Amino acid sequence: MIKLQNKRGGEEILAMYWFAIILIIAGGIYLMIYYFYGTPYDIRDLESRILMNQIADCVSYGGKINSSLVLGGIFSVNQENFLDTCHLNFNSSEWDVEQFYTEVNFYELDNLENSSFMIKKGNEDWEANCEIQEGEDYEKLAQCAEKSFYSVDETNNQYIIKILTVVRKSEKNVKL
Amino acid sequence: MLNFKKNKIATIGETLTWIVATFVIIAILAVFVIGAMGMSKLKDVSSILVSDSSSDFKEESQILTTKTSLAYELNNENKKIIEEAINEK
Repeated sequence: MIKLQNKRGGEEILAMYWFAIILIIAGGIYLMIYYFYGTPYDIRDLESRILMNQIADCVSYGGKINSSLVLGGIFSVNQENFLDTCHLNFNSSEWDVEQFYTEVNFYELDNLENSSFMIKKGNEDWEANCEIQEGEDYEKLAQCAEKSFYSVDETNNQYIIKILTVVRKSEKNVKL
Repeated sequence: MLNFKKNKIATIGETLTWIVATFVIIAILAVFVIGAMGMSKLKDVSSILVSDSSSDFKEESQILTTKTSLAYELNNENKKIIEEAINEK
């Protein structure tokens, strides 16, 4: 009789053990899913490069600067209409504040230190993020892309064009 | 006496098996969890595309270089100054 009682106790301990094992496995599966699916795909770098290419295509095509921007060495672009000219829209209904910033600088060869003309569009607050390119919080900051290229205007005046594009959208691309 | 000792050894052996099995389960789970953590770090799309030699991403980044080459076809004066300026900026 005593022996039977002991047997029952052993079964209960084994049941608890299995219950603990199930909990451990469930916890492990939860952690795996949490880490993998909880981290969003970060496409901001890609987005900033695409934006840069779009702006570069708008500013210069086939090696020549867009005549609506520079004509005969004179910058004729209206800053307000720049985004419309390039078929861009930085205002998205998804966000309360603009998540993009772009800066296009035109440098003449005789004065490469100071830009002859500058176009700034978007939220200037994100520009400061470009200064910080390393550290733990770097991924949470806006991503920047900057490149320069050479182009000529209608009258063969030479320009170096530097484009900076910044994309924030941290909430959708990084686990904050 | 001998029978009681044998039973005790059997009980200890069985318990030890379960303990080892538990550790094995935890170790396997830990490997998978660490793997999931590592894979989540690979979710930066651009780093995958840059490392993938078969992707068009590298060609895509050559667009500005192509623009410069096309502009040289129109006016290739001061090429050295231009190259230096582009690399510097």
